[in-house]
Amino acid sequence: MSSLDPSGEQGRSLWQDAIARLGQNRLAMLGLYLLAFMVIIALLTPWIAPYSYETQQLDLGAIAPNARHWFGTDTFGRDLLTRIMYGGRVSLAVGFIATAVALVIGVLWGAVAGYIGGRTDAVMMRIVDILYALPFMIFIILLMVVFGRSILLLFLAIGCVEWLTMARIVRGQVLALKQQEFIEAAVVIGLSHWQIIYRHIIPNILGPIIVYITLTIPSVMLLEAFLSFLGLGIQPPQSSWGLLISYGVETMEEYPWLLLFPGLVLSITLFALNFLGDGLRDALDPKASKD
Amino acid sequence: MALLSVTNLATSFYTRDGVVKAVQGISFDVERGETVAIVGESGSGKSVACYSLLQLLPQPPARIESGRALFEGIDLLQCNAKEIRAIRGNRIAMIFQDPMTSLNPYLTIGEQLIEPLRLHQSMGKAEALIKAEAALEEVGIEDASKRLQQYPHEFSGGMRQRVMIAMALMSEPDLLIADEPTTALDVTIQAQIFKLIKTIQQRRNLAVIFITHDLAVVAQISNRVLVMQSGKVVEQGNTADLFKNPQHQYTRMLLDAIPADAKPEQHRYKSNGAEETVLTVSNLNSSYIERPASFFHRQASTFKAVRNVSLTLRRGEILGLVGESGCGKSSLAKTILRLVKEDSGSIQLQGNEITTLKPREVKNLRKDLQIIFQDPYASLNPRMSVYDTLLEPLKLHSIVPSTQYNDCISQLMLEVGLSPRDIRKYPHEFSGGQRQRIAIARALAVRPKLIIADEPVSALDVTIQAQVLKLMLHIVAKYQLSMIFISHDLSVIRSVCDRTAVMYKGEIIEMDETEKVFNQPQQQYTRRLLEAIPAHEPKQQAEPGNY
Amino acid sequence: MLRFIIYRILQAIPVLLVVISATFILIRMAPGGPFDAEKAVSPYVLEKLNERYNLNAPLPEQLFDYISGIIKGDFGPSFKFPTRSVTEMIATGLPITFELAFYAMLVALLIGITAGLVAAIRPNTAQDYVPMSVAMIGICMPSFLMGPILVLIFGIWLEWLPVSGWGYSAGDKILPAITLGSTYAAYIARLTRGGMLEVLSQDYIRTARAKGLPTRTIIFKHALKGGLLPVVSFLGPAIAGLLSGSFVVETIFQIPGLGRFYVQAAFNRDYTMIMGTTIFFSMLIIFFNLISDIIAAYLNPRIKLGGEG
Repeated sequence: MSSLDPSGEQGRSLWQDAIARLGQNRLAMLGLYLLAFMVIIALLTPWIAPYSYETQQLDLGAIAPNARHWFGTDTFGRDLLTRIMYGGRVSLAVGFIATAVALVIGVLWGAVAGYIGGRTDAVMMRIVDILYALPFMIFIILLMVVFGRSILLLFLAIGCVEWLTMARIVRGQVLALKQQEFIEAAVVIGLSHWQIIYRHIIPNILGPIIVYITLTIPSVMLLEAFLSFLGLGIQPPQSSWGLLISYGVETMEEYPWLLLFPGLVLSITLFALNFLGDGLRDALDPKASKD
Repeated sequence: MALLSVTNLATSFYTRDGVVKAVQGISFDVERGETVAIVGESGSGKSVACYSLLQLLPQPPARIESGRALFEGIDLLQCNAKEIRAIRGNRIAMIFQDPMTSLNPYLTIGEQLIEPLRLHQSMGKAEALIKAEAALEEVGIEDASKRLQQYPHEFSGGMRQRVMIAMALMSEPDLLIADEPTTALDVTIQAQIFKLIKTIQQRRNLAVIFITHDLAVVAQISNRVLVMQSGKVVEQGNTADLFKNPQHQYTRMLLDAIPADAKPEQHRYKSNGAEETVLTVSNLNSSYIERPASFFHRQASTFKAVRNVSLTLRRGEILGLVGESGCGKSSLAKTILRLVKEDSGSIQLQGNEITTLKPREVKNLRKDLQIIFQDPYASLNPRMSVYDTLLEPLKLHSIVPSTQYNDCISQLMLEVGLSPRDIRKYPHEFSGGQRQRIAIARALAVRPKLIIADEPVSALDVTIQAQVLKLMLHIVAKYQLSMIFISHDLSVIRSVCDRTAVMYKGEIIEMDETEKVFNQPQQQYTRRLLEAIPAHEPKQQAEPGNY
Repeated sequence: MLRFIIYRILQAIPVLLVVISATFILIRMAPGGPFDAEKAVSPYVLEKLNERYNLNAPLPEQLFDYISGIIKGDFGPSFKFPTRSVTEMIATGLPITFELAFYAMLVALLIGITAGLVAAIRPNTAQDYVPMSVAMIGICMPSFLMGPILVLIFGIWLEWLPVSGWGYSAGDKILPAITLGSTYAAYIARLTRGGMLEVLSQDYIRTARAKGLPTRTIIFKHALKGGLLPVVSFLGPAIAGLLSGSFVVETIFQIPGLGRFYVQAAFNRDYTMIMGTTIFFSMLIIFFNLISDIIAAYLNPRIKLGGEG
């Protein structure tokens, strides 16, 4: 866009304000850096992993952490650090992809219900209410049992659970926005529905959506870890942090590091995401952060 | 000795962005039985001063820097938590601005009313309830024993403020601090509440501190006035003297800002009946959905908001639309703007019927018909810069070729009294008055024939209000626009409108030249409205109206 | 109020029917019959088995039979343990799971509400940061990690508490209850803090202070009811979460509850057992959602009348 008057004052948008506020939140920034670190490691794993993922060396079985194996080795002599790195790829992928599924369904559903309103809204939200009442954890387990434990199914199943909250949040936001006078002003100016949605509504609900994404990822990762722990999620030889923890539990008396390191990595990642999410909420919604 | 004697009170807020000196060394006395009004615009420190007296501000961030507040020999500012609690609600009581949120929604009225007595006089529950019933009756609430069992949401706004007053008076305080107690209420309700406070005050020889932004209210209710500006008392004195002979420039500015009784001298429009008719509304009815259809209620319940309304508007004319909340004035506006579908009737804009337009054709209508909303904080998209906000209508309706966008936007900014240098700024970087100017510029951008202004100045401070009104009169005159000006404030209506329509329960019950409506009201309701306007001249003895 | 309850119960019926049908169809869609996984069975025996479990009848008829069985409280026989009925197994496991969930809820509510109140009274001080940081740890340490670590520390290294079992030795209920309750304690602490802060900033709290009420009265009489509403609405989902959390905790601590049966049934592909427990859990969750909604309606005078809440 052309600049009108080069000497004119540059305004600060709410986004710039929010980024500045986030920058001041040390915990949230720590969370952001940690998360970035985890993601980069996960992306680069195939090239930087110190050992092979599968090769078993039984003579090296269950060595405590040392200079060559920072996190020790498991009972089959596989390097734990390598396995955690590969497991992280799966755990993070489940977190991001399932959240993306939830995002697409939830935002569309919620935005349509909220924007159209009236009877359509009532019917759509009643469906959400009913689905909410279902014991989804049990249904996911059922799905995994019936159709076999495939990672693709896991993405879909978890995404299909998490979209409900997203839809509710988006709908609530859209309903509140619709009553704002600037939306009516946009109608009076003559904008079409789609123009109003993408110019006036979406930029204003982006904040809560981003916050909710950051908070959904850890809960999805937890769900995956939970299922894998029960042996109903990721299937060996693939691995995830939940699965590693479940192996760790079996041998925790003799080789506690096999439990502690995967647990630590999972917890730190969840910490990072939650702190980032809280920080984003405070930064994007200054009113909520007053408390 | 004065009941309350405040000397050199100063309060600051210590925030992350620095220290805000909200109150900077103010002094005043309050005698028994008198009403002292503290008047000032938002941010002048009038409420902070009074909250400081009772230590009601959260500390931190607030800090009382200096001063004494002697209340019957006790320095309120030096009291510890326990001592100040023994005074709060007992010797000094408060009522607040918004009765809708000031009562606890989870407790019955009875439970809340008896609290001061139970606390300060260790009274038994049964006895306290009897007193509470009497207190409700004193503030004019009927069927008191049953009302005690009810929750706040079962009361209307005016009734809740009565409950608040009853609650404040339960333990027979010596001083009542009223913080804008009628700002949230309709004008007829406001008059009733004033009368009530006055009666009780005389009966009990109560001292009252009345915090308000409205000088007209001051004139009506107070013996003495303090005028506050940016944390300082710029002038104080006897109400009558101050109105007659204001000393400080700011006081004069406030007094000038009160919409005058008669229309301003630059009356732009004299109808000769020959001007082109811009808008004709006939027999319009519309309703809104109170509760959508549901499991229990097969039929959606609708409320008839606009009933059989007819009006015409000529070119260059401002039609005032006045009425209390819920009378249907905003619904009428939305129906004309095609935001709400009418039930029946016709709306013609420059002779063209617009109720039958197809959705596609409505877009062209938007060019002629614009709106300015009440709340300048909600009416601008917070994530769009002023430039983008103003560009949107220009682009959409191809008002000017794209090469002229920048010039056109600069001109619009100048037109509404803003600097074109600020176009890259976002709404939150402007003050309320400036935002309202941006909203006006947006409405002007499409060069409309008719603007509907829905309470355009109600959210603004009086001095700002006067400036925005002036701007609106200016643009109406310059572009020969027609305007429907909606307000609950009769003084504002009188100062800008050529003709005035009074709405009551969805109908226009009276419509005529503004001065005729004000001087010779035909309807009982109109007379009631007019009587409820606080007089602009101080009267020591306000006449009780016929309510 | 009564109307509200009836309305919610009526609403639950179609939900349950959907749950039952969906479960039923899912199970029938499973690749391979229920007896395939085991050692090869002769066609004759298979035929007999199918007959016995009524697997030859048309699907709608099977579904109908199944639903009418449930109404009578009969979830059919277990595929895996033909001598025991699913109803019987639920009846043995349920009291244990309930007891566990009850203790866990107790832990969650006591710790959570206390911590949340403590934090909300002095926000942005150490009194706020410490409990809230602990709560964050609680949220980021899932039960399947928390449980083993507690076992490792208190059971194996310190030998203070038994590491498994339920009701066999003194104190063996402590670790499972804490493990299951800790995450929910953390959520409840955050919800309580948020709810209380929201309420404490309301105008009517200022009114209460202006009356001269002491802080204790303001918090417990004026603020608590509204401040705990988010917690109450969370109770329904929390109980659903506790029930699924019992899968993990009962597995870790080898507690013979319903959750462990479910996980075992999932591994054994014991279809009737899976179906039975799924439907039973659904009923429980719907029931507890209803209870938490009723409590919320009871606490909030403004939603007492409406059917929609």
